[in-house]
Order: sequence, then structure tokens, then C-alpha cells
Amino acid sequence: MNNTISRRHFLKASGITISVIVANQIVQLSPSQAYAKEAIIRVLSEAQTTTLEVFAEALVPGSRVAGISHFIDSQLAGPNEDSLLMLKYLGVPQPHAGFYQAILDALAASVKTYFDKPISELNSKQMEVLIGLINQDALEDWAGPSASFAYFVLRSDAVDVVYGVDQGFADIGVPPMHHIKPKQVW
Amino acid sequence: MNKDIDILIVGSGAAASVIAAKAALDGKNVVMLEAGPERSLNDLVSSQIWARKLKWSGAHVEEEGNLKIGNNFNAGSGTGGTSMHHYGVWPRLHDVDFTMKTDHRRGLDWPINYADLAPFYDLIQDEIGLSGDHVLEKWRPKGKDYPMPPVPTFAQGKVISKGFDKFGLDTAPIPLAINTRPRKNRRACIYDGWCDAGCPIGALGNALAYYLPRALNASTHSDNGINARIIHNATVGRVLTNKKGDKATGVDYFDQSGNKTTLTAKIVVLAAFAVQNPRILLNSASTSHPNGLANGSDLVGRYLMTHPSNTINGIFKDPTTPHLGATGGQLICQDGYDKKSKSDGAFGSYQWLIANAVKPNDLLGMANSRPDIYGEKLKPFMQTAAKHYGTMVCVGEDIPKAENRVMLSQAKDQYGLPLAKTIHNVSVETDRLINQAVQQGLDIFKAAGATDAWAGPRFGMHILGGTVMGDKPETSVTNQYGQTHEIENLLIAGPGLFPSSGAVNPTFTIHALALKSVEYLLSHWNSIAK
Ligand SMILES: Cc1cc2nc3c(=O)[nH]c(=O)nc-3n(C[C@H](O)[C@H](O)[C@H](O)COP(=O)(O)OP(=O)(O)OC[C@H]3O[C@@H](n4cnc5c(N)ncnc54)[C@H](O)[C@@H]3O)c2cc1C
Ligand code: SF4
Repeated sequence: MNNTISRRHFLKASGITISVIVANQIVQLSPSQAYAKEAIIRVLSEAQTTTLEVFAEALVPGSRVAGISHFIDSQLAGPNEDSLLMLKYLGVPQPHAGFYQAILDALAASVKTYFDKPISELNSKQMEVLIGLINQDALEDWAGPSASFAYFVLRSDAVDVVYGVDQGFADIGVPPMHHIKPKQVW
Repeated sequence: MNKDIDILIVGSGAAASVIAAKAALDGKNVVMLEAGPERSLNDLVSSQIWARKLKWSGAHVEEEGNLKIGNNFNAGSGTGGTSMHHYGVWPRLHDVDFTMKTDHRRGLDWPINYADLAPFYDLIQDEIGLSGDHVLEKWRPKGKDYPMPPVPTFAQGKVISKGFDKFGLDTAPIPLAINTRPRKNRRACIYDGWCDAGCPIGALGNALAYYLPRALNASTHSDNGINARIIHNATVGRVLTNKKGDKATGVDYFDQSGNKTTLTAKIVVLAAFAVQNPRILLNSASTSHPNGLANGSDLVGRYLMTHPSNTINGIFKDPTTPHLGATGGQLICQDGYDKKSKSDGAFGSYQWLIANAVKPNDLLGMANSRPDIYGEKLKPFMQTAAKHYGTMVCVGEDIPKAENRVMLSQAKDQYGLPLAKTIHNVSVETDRLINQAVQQGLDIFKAAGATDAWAGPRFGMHILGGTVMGDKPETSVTNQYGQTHEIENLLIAGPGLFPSSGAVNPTFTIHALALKSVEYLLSHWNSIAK
């Protein structure tokens, strides 16, 4: 079965929603609907969003359509104390917008330096090289929080949106067994 | 309203809940000031994403050292504090943990010994309810039998225990503050592994499952009919004293809008956990206490500890159903306890918590056990892990050192109060202890049939010390009841009191010490609250 289709279908059918802004209104949509309707990204720039979606998708396939950009952006747009980002307990002081903006800008800049093209145009081999360099903190011009830490954080966020929700549990055969099911995915 | 408060407690977590319940049931008017939001058991949503709401969201803590204390992971806020998402692993400290300095010329001795604390362990065990097997748990110091049978051993525990067997090491069911049968109007565990997100059915003995409701429902003879209440979103900045500085008169707290309120009380108890308690004391400096309250010997914040810990992970041939059980684990092994001096210059006790229930995501989830796997290889790994993953964690002993401490930072919070800054380094001996344990863990996993076994990164589990108890003001901040040496009606509660860490999870001991303190306080009320 095509997983992307099944995830979209599931999220629609399950009624699990997030709050996003579409056409100047706050509405409740599933993450995949938010992604499909291009709901407004409030904190990250267009370039940062693209970098995030491409990189996260390379790390955790399915994370783009599962709504990685809306997940991170919605948390950055909300009050610090309500944040559901794992970064909250990795020792980085809030607010976290600056952290994400810095690592995404650093990522885009490194891609430009090393491959002389936008991240969305990297082929899979180049992406692998990039990830290898990031993991070893070997990108010479990297500016901002350490590259390997950035990898860990973005991968964890992408894991959250793909495997931290019921469909992800189902995909790998783990029964969710919620005591209290979340009303919204995040 | 102010003059009526008998006991003002800062925090509403594990330690606070015991003191509040016992004092309120004794007819005292108790107010708890809680920095975090109000929460009930019904707010504990079973999701590792939503579980993050329970984590610390107060003032940032700056951290340094070769093993940072990991405040934001190890602390929580809101009703019930960190206890709301703690895992309920409740072993007792051992006799030898109380005499580290005498026996090994390291760290500090406690002002009490195990026998002094044993009756309080027994009482708490009886009230909250513990499950375990006191016979198989051969390392357990003397105490009453567990009131409930142990948690079952599921496939993961059975598979891993084979590795321990092969090395002649013993395992026993893990002692848990988790109901294995319905008890005292609380339900039995259903082993779905959601403890980290908080157990909403009351099977796990967090503050909201037992002591807080008893405090909040206590109604004897105070004016409004209710003896205890919690004021939420109330961050205490300072403890106030009289001019002479020998009596605490109350506290200043800030609400969410930043408004400052002063509350006065006969007794002030700081139960804001091991980092914020010293921060509050240091931030309470005044002309009579220029270096902070209870800090005449420059000991506030010192002897900060965390248990150096390491996960061992593996993929086994046999199915493990790793989602089943309690997050804290199924089995325990303390064969590495008591003989603190080890080979190759390692020092300290350690224990294994075996076969923790795991979820796919979050810091301790399956995916993050192998952060190097990405892309197309990730899903197959997750599918295998979902059926064949196993894990255990070693909890090591820290050596208390004066230079590991909580200090005040130059940076300030939203109320203009200096932040806490912590420094925590482990010694070479401790490092060697964990290295040896990790090697043992990997060997055990291989012997148990792991096709792949790997160690996670080292991390600090639990936070302890910083306001240590002792016999003398020159060497400690409080006496054995948590009363500060300098100010009789100012008490400290929580793991900050521990003069040494042992290598067991601290919350059973936190409860026992809090019970000991409050019983002493109530029986000496007229002299202490004068
Ligand atoms: C994931 C996890 C799992 C754990 N599992 C176990 C386990 O299995 N076994 C075990 O023994 N221990 C475990 N622990 C540790 C245990 O939760 C803590 O040791 C225990 O809760 C500490 O109790 P406490 O009363 O000192 O602090 P807390 O329970 O944290 O309560 C302190 C309260 O004070 C409040 N506060 C802080 N500052 C202020 C202020 N300035 N003003 C007002 N309020 C303030 C906080 O918001 C908090 O609610 C675990 C911890 C974590 C994070
Ligand atoms: S495993 Fe047991 S204690 Fe943990 S959340 Fe589930 S029912 Fe509660």
C-alpha cells in the first residue's frame, strides 16, 4: 500500500487536527491538510521552510507530508511554556525560533557552498554526502549551533510527526493503547 | 488571609505533597505555591509529544560540566511537579549509602542511618502501595514485605534476563510505586507503557494519585473548612525573614502577569526541587544574610549530584514486545551495589533497571536509540525494533563534591531574578564505573542473544544535593529533619537534602524523608512555629 496515501487518508479520517492560519483565519486542519492547503507558516521564512522540509524528508521519509514544517512553526509561534518541541529539554534556552532559523540558514548556506545549488535540487548521493558531513561536524563554513546537534534535533522532530502519532505506530505495528487519546496531534 | 497560613510550601511535587497531606490532616492551614499550571490526572494525554507539557518550563537553568544535570529533562512543573511523569521505580537506599565518608573517605556521611529511615519507608510503602518481591530482591535492606505482588515479566524482560543468568547475575522484579492490583480506590496498572506521559488512571503513585488529594480534601477545623490549597502559576522569588534574620516570615511570589505578592506564614518549606531550592535561598540575600539564607557556611548549592547513567540497547532474535510493561522497567539487578571500590580505579555502586517499556519517538524512544539511521533504512529499523528491541539502563553513584554546585548567574529571569547556573563534573573513578557497567551491559545483551547491541550516550539521571543535611552547620545546610541550621522555621524538602546519591532512584527516599520531617515538625509545632 502507498504509505503517503494511507497516512493522508488516516489523518483525515481520524479527525486529528492542528490549529493553523488559512486565508487569515485560524482553522483546525489535519497536518496533511495544512500542508496541502499551504497554511501560513508564521515564523519560518519560505526558504527556511523549504530547507526544513527537504532535509527532514531525507532523514525521515514521510515527514514532509506529515506536516513537519507546520509542527515546528506552530510551536515556535506559540507561548514558550506550551512548546511541544523536544528541544525544550535539550538545554537550549527559549525562545527557540532563533535556533531553528540559525540551523536552517546554516544548512542552506552549506549546501550552496558545497554543491552550488539549492537543497531541493540535491540528488540522493549528494544528500548522503551532506548528511555525513553534518554528522561529523565536518562542514567547514557551518555557522550556528553544532551541525550534528542540528541533525539530531531535526531528525527527532521528523520522527515525532511520522512515528509519534497513531498512524506511525500502526505503520510499525505498535498498538498505541492510549489511556487518553490526544485531541490534536500537537 | 495571610496571617492564617501555618505552613507555606514552595512547590506541589513529591516532597511537598507528603508534607501538605500530613500537615493538613493534622488541621494545619497549608498553602502550596506552584510555579507551573494547574493539572489533573485527566490532563495526562498518552503521547510522547504531549508529555513534554509536563517538563520544566520555568526559568532557564545554565549548565556546565562534563556531565550536565539535564535540568529540563529531569525536572517538571505544574501540579504534582516532576512526580507526575516519574516512572515509579522505588528502591530503598542501602545501609552503606549512609556512611560513604566514614567507609571510603569520599563525599559525605548522612546524619542518619538506614535504620532511622526504615520505619518511614515502611509507612510510605503501606500508604502509597508498592509492588515487588522482597525475597527475590536479595539486595533489599530490611523492611516490611511489599503490599502488592510484583509486575509481570513480559517477553523483553524474559529475553534480557537470560543474559544476566549466563553471567551468574541475579535479577528480581523491579520495585515500583505502581498498583499491580486495585488498591485504596486506585486502579491496577494495565502495562501500556505510558508512565512517561503521566499515568492518568492513578495506578502510579505520583503526587496527584495519593498525597495531594489527601491534602486538598483534608477538612478539620480551619475557618473556611479546607485545610490546604495550591496557588498555581505562582513563582516564588525570595524567602523573607524578620530583621534579625533568625525567623522566616513568608515569601514573595510572582503571578503570570509579573505581579508580586507577599504571603506570610509560621513555617516556610522549600520543596521546589534540587536546583530551584538553592536558587531561592541565594536570591533571598538580605542585610542579615548577605550571602543568601542558610548560607553562612557557603554550602548552599554545593554537593550537587546526578546519577551518571547509560542505556544499553539491542535487537534480539526472539520477540520482545517492547511496548509492554511500565516505563521504569520489569526487572532490577543490584549485584553491582555495596562493593563500592571496584577494579581498575573505578568507584561507586550501580544498578540495572531492565526492560523498560518504550515508544517509537522521544529522547528515550526506539528511533533515537539509533540516531545514525536515517532515510530509507529508518522504517525497516523501526519495524524490527517494534518487535525485537530491548533496553536497560545502568544507574550509577555520583561522588558528592563541593565544587559541583548551583550558583547564581549574571542573567536574569522575567521577574528580574538571577537564573540558576549549575556546574557538575564526574570524577575519573565515576567515569570508570560507568564504563565498566556499559561493557558488562553489552556482554549481557550479547549473551542474551542480541544480534546487535549498542550503548547510548551517558546522561545524568535525577538531580540531588545542593542543600545537604548533616549534623553541623559548618558542614551542612540543614539538620536531619530538613530544618535549616540558621533559621529554625525554614525547612527544605526533596532530594537536595541527600548528602550522597547512592545509586537508586530517589523518590521513595524523598517521601520517607519528607514524612520524617513533617512528623517532627508537627510534634514540635509550638517550639518551631512560635
Ligand atoms: C522522566 C523522569 C522519570 C523519573 N522516574 C523516577 C523513578 O522511576 N523513580 C524515582 O525515584 N524518581 C524518578 N524521577 C525523579 C523524581 O521525579 C524526582 O526526584 C522527584 O519528583 C523530586 O521531587 P521534589 O518534590 O523534590 O520535586 P518536584 O516533584 O519536581 O516538585 C517541585 C515543584 O516545585 C515547583 N517549583 C520550582 N520552583 C518554584 C518556585 N520558584 N516557585 C514555586 N514553585 C516552584 C516545580 O514547578 C515543581 O512542581 C524521574 C524524573 C523524571 C524527569
Ligand atoms: S504502564 Fe501502568 S503505571 Fe504506567 S501509565 Fe500505564 S497503567 Fe499507568
